[in-house]
Amino acid sequence: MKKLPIFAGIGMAALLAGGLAVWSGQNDPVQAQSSSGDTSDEKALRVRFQIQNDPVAPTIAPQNYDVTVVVFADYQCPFCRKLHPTLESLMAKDPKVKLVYRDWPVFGAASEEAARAGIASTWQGKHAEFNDALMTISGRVNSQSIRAAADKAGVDWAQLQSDLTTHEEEIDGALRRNAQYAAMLSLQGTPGLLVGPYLIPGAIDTDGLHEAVAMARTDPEGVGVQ
Amino acid sequence: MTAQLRALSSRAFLGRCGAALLILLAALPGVISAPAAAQAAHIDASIHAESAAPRPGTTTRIAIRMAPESGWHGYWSNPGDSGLPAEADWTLPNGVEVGALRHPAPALLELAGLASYVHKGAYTLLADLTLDDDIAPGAALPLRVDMSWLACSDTLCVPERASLALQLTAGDGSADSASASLFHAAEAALPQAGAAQADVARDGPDWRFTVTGVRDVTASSARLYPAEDGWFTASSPQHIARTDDGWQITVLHPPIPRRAPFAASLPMAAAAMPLPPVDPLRPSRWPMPRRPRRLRQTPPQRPPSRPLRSLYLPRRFHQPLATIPARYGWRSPVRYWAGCCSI
Repeated sequence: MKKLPIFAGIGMAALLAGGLAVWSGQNDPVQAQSSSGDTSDEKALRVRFQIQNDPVAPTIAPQNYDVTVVVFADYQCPFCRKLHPTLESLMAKDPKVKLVYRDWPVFGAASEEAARAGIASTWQGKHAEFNDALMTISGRVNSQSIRAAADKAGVDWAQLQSDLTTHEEEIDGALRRNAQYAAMLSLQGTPGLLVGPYLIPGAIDTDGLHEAVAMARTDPEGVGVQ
Repeated sequence: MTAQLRALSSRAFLGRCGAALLILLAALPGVISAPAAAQAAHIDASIHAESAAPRPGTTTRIAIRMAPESGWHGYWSNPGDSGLPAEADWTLPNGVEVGALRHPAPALLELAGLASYVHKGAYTLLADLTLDDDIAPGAALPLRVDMSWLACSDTLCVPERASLALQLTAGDGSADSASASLFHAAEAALPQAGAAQADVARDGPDWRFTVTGVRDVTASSARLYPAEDGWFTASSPQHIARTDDGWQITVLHPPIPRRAPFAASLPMAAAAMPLPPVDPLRPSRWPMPRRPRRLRQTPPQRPPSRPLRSLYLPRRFHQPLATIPARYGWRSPVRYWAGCCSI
């Protein structure tokens, strides 16, 4: 939280660029859907689209997905770790869910180290395995346990270190955006979920998550709950 | 950099959206700082002095009282498998020193295979306040501490912070009667030196702690809390059994521990019984030699409060983002963001 004002200046360009890129996007499904309705709703949909789509944040996007789940999480947060198998089970059972991992390290330096490593593993295609290993670290998260999780997940450590350096600015930008979006969603802490249009500020069980996904399918704009 | 370049390459849009961008630049810091400013902390922190007029050349104490909302908890000095303890960053006048924060004994919270050492309910952290003897009587002693901690509920963890200040004046060291009961209770809740003895040995894959000099342990609920991380994971099962002259606590199948000094708290469940921590062990070789260790003993502990639920299942979804309301009493950032960009 303390760093957020600092993020404002630096993160602005990234956010604006992302926003403008989306704004100008030709293949923006949300824009296509929102041809009617009042102006502020269109803007809000655009913001939601930005939160659901990120050039860097690790994403699992099956073909023909119809619901997007965005998870704001910290590898040291007990409820994020409780949520982890719930998300895994959702992804295993529901082939039409897109999942966006927005790492939001709020538990200090070890969390940020783990988040950076997790994001960096996407460049070697190991995020799913590494994320699972990081979320199931036994005991405390620190440099040693992150390294052990990488070994367990089959992450090439040398490559990871190289990607952490090469892609440092992209990772910085992703973490900044994640913190920004968390603030915009008025999330107080971790975990937080955005299931379609529905915000769930905290952990949820498997049944509840499936119910939320079902709601996002039947009522993708949340009309029924307004 | 990539993003900035992309921003520059979107010059056509910049031109189109020029006015909107200016508004956005002005508005965003407000949006960002709003959560921290507008949301009340889930754990309320306050600072208290044992003496408002501490005497130069002596040591008195400072208390940080942490009062969580119902359903929220903070973490012990060793938070266990997850969590963070409270951290204090002091700003002090010359000649004044504040020692480390001392925590009362923790309770165990298990969730998702992770065990944490937490404080359930309100708790008080104590620190020694030492004044140099060359401080002039009557000198103003403004103390300030920036506290940061993690507050967790059944579903959510929130990093929180507070800046606490206290104005003391160097004086005769007379105790402040208003805070006397707070300090008395806080002192009573701290692990303290006693007559117990402990011994620790490797027993195959397990740790075996032998504790003597402590009576009336409630075997079903006693637990060893290591003061330092690195001996065993907090979720490692513990078995406690009566021996001829004490108790044996076996920590089952801990991962190979690091070579760290060992200190621990052993809260006793029975209301009238003490909770002794094990004094630091500093093994000179590995595995550890079997040598008797001193234990410290503490005064009575309150009976454990209602156990926290280990699972919480929120069933109520919040309103869709498109029309997200001002849930915390401040303007919805999403609306704000959306509204700021209209041209």
